[in-house]
Amino acid sequence: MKQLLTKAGCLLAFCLLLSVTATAQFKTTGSVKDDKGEPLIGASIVVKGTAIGTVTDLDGLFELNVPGSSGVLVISYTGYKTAETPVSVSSNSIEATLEDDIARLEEVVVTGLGSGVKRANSGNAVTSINGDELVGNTSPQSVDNALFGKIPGVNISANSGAPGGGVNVQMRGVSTLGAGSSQPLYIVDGVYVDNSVIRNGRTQVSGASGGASVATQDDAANRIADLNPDDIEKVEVLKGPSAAAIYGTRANAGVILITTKKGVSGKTRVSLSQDVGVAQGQNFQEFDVWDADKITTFFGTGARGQAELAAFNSSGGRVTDWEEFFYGENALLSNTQLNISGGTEKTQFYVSGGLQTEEGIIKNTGFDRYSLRANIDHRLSDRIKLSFNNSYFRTDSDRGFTGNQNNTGGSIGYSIAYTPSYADLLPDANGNYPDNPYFNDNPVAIRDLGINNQVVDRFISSASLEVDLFSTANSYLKFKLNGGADYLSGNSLVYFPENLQHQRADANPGDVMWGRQDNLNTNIQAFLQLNANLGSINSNTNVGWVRLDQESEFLLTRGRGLAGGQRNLQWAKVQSIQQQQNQDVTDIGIVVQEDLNWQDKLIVSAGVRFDKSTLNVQQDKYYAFPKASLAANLHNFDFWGGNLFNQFKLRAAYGETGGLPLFGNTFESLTSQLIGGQLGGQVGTRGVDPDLVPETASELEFGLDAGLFNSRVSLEATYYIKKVNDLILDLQPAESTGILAIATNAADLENKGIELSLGLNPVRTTNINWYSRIMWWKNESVITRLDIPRFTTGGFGPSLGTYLVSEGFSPTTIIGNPTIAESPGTTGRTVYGDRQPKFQMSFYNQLTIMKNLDFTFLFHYQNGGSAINLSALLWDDGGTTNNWNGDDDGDGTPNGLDRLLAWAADGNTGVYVQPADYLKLREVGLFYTFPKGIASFINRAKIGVSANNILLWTKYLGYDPEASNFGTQPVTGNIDVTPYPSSRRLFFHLKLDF
Amino acid sequence: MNRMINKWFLILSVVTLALVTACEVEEIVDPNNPSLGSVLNDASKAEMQTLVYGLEARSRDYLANAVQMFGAFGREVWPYFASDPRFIPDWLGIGRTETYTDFFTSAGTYVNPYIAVKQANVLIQAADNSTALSTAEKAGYKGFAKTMKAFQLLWPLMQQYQNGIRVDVSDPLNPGPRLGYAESLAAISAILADGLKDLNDAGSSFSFVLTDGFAGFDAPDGMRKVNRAIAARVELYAGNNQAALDALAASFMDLIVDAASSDKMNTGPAHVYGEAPDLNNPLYYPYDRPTTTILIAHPALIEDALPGDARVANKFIKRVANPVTSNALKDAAGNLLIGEYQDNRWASNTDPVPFIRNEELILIYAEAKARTGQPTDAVEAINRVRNTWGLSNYGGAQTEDALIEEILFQRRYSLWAEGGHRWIDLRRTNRLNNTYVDLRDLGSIYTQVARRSSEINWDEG
Repeated sequence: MKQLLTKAGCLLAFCLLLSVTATAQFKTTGSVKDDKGEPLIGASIVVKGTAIGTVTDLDGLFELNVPGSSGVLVISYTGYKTAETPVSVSSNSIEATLEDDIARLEEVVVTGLGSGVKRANSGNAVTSINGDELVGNTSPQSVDNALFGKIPGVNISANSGAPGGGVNVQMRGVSTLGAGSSQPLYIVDGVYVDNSVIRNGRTQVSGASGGASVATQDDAANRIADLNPDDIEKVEVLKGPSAAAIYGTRANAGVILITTKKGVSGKTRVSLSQDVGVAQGQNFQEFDVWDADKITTFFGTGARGQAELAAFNSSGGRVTDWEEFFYGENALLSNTQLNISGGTEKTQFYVSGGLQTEEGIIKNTGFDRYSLRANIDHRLSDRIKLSFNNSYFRTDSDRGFTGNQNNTGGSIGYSIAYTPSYADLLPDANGNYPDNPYFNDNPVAIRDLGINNQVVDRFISSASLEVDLFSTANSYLKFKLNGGADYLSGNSLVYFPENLQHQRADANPGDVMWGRQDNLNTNIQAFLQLNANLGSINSNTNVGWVRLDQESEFLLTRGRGLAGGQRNLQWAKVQSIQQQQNQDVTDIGIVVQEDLNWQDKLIVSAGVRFDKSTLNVQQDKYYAFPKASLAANLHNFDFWGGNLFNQFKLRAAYGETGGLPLFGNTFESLTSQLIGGQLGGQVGTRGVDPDLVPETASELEFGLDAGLFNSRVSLEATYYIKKVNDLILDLQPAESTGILAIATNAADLENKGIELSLGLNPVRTTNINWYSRIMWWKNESVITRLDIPRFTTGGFGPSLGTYLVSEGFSPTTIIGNPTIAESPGTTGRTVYGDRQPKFQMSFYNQLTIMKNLDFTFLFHYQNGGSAINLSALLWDDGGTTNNWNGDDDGDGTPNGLDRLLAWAADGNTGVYVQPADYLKLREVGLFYTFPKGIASFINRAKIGVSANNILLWTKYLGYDPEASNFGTQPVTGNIDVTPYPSSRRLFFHLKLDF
Repeated sequence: MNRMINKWFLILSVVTLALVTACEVEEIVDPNNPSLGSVLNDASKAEMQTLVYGLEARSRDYLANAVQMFGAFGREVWPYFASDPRFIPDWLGIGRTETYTDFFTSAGTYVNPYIAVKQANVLIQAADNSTALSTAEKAGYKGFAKTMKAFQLLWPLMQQYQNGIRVDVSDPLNPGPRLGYAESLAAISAILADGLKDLNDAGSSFSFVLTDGFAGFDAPDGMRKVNRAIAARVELYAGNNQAALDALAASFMDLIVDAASSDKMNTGPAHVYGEAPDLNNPLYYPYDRPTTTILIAHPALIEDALPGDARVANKFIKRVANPVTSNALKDAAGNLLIGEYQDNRWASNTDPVPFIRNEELILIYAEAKARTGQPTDAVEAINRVRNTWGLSNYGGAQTEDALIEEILFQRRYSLWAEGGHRWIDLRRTNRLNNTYVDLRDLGSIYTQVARRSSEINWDEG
């Protein structure tokens, strides 16, 4: 390594000597328009074969100094086909018109850490989503929330409807069984950003611990929610190892690259947008209304039944629809975004500020985001480019108390499952909440008095430097240095005051948890890029070095036995540290990549990355992650001739990536435990295999990209086989040994999938442009090797539905009771389904009428997939299910009891494992852009209405088939325990450009 | 221009050279905890002390499950735990007659004690590997560790009963065979004997400190008495009555107790508790608070009690304002069974819980005497217990059967909710049937808990 960099240093020094090449130049001017004659602002103009270029201003005009006496200008703009125009000293002003690039063949997609290639030449299926597609149709709450149904091969699922995010993003099937990260790596402007979920201790306060899962049930959001979606220019998705290999040891679950907006030289532009909306809970289950009959059926005729009848009678049969009461708030949503951009030829800037405030459908919940950004690009000289991207975010989430609980009543959803419609839970005139005789606490008091707040302050900054070391007519050498930092400071507070019913039942009433998280990611990379034309072949060589450092400090403190109304720890009778966890990680990588392009006919790319990480058992060992790809543009070959196809590309790619063990999993340590005022060291229950290696994934991807009728019809088809090898699993020794798990490389799995995307542009006239896109994708996973005994994992154990890890089965297989003797491979239990859907598809349409009326909608359909619906179990147990005491089968036993008995007495877990198919209208928007000149100071004005998740069709008997009580899980999601219901969101939009 | 580029390239070169030094990365060790290796490899006395307290801490983790689940099996208690709908049907066998693999919330009396056994084994290994200790000091650690280990092994054995358990579990990848019930008891007895030998070699004091729970038993002499008390229980279970009597003679048993000195019934080592970050006494529930999650004394204990038995008021207290019900707990007529009496033994959630007491030793003595044809001694011991709690002398027949009946009745009240004695006692005396177990809750009686899947899987490979 040292040697390599020393060599790089020598090369740099050598370049100093060579860099005396300043020669004559001339000035050229021109304009760039689209095929409708509208000026294109920010189109890029580059002198071919050099790095010299500029961008068009607000009127689509540009001015550029071209070296020598003639050259070729390459004019490009996102979403348009690139044009080339020769210029010379004697040319007049250029007037370039760019054609709409419907299939986005010209768009540059990433192929290496230091390089990209236009989509038409890419050997991989790389999905990219521009800012308009991301947030243009409606106003999403977070970036991951905006991706639903937009990327084939990616299954996205919200953990709950709580405000502020919490989304599981699973690319191309299962990437880990839990030892590594199941979530994609997020890179924002070159910075590795934190997407962790910060523990807040709600699990402890609400008592929702236990079960077969070690995961917490905090329902906290993954921190990608901090990013402001409105600042995003483009999202690129490297779904599998064949594309993500360039990110090496952290890329098993794919990579999401986010680029933020940049300024454009010319007149300063000011853009202001205001969205106002409302969120409403959806898919209420219509709880039963109780009457005397039902009370007798449910509580019996004994003392308790009599008491309930008396309560019912004295209440006058009071009917409260508890779902409507708790989830029926009309939540106000507002999103204000202001951005100012502009600059000179040398310096461009984009600064923005955003303020998003959203109430939740449960009182006292909500999500606010404040964001600031300054992106500056500066050209230090013709050869040196600098850019800085700086952003600050503050998010403030109140997510309330829903989901699971134990002995506390600290969950609204759980409590109301047991609360009949005649219950009296409302506070009296003095604000005293009555005790809830039906559960451990009064959910109204929990809602009004409990606090579950998390505030995150975050800075993400990156800087990059690009130097043209030398360039000739046929080659150039660049040096690229970039890096950045993501600093996250999180503060959480979970609080139950001492006067709550369940707290009064505790020895030390009043419970508070304060959490502090400090995370810092820093990364830096240095690359040399050599581009050379070797005859008809263009060669692009990249050599580089990368380093990532992660530091994090976490402290969760708890106070119990609080002085009245106080939540400062000093006012707690019992003060304790729930957890202190520090982490320190360093990764280092070396990258070499070579791309060869033969006249846009055959494009070959090969590379390898060597990574080491302190997360590995062998901290100093480099692991290799190779990749290679081939794209054959058959339509560019002479034999193809002219026909309907304007594009016909066959592609194949192979790549390998890694998955690192989670921090701490490679240590064998003691844990501390206080006893009788003394400190004990307890032997841990985990062991580590000394030969443990990181998980690795390899992927072979084949595809066909075709365009017909000048890309009016375009098809992208991809088939992949993604294998994950050496999965780190816990070898479970006999529990009698006191060691419950030994981390070991014990399994392989395989994902096979198909991704289809069909783009249609059936109508394309001056007045009507209709674009339609259908995506369809499926993935099948199977465990191909398992060296340890098959086992069940996740959830609350077999009787409530759990997951099976067994060779020959999908890792997301849901199993439960009863035990079937003749059931090989399932640990003797019954298979009830698979969490992963059979397939998903989406249907997107965009209709532009008279150039200024835009109508878009996006449907998203999931076929197959099952979920463990424990909400339904609780509703049946509490007698609240709709038509609980009906008797559909006429056996004299009420419906609710029938189901419960089938579950409990017959041990049939399947009663509460339900199909999770759905059809959702994810996005719908109608926008009108006013003709120019409605006011002299307004450049453009746009109004619109839109909706998000407006319609849901499902047979699932819960609020939403998307639910995960244990948060983001690699395998064991889709467990539904009275979550925060999901909501539909309706907006009015106003956008003004000055 | 040229000069500027030179300047920047110079800066660049410096930056690049700086990066070279960034290639070296220090090995990361656990920043949050000491490593296991450090205590196994020549531990200091301070490290040994940490392991000792750790063993005490691990050793109490079986308790809640033993009291709650074994207690439910033997209908000492009803688990009104609304936190999970499985507690009542699964533990009481409502709608089922057998347990199942990985039975609901049963790890507490299986996995937890084995984790304590692991801790004891590490303590023994650490003592052997330490150069900071004298031979006598090493023997002290090992005697204590073996005594605790034997006691812990009893819990999985009581849970698994005829399934048997593994006793040799020191190598996680090569555990010893599963021994039958009788063999396991014999092996536990041998571990106790081995521990006793170590304690005999340990000199007059330990080189480590124990918590207040071992007050009076915190030197080799006291620990020997604890060791023998545990041995007495093991021998009684194994049917070795004379061995039980021999062990009692070397234990802390004190037969001379009356109503005035009833505190002496509680003599014995205890698990201690505290406020967080210590653990709370898991058996403590504040009195009569509105809750749907509480352990309730089975009403048969109130109904069957003899008039004047002081143990009733000592141990049970009626919930006046907040009796509990559960929709899952109904009588034959379909009416909800009402939970009225809660545990009255604890004043606070930091009260220590004795894990083997003089009262049990007296009752072991009575039983062993009754079974070895010494009814007079047996009756004397029975009367010690009866008189202490305000009951008159035993007036029934002095046949072995009658005496065993009486002793089981006394054990039911004396040892209520102390780790499932009732269930274990009825099982070992072939009385685990509905004559002795009140099944008004329409449940069934389990004899033992199914083997755990980790054990089955390990055996099957």
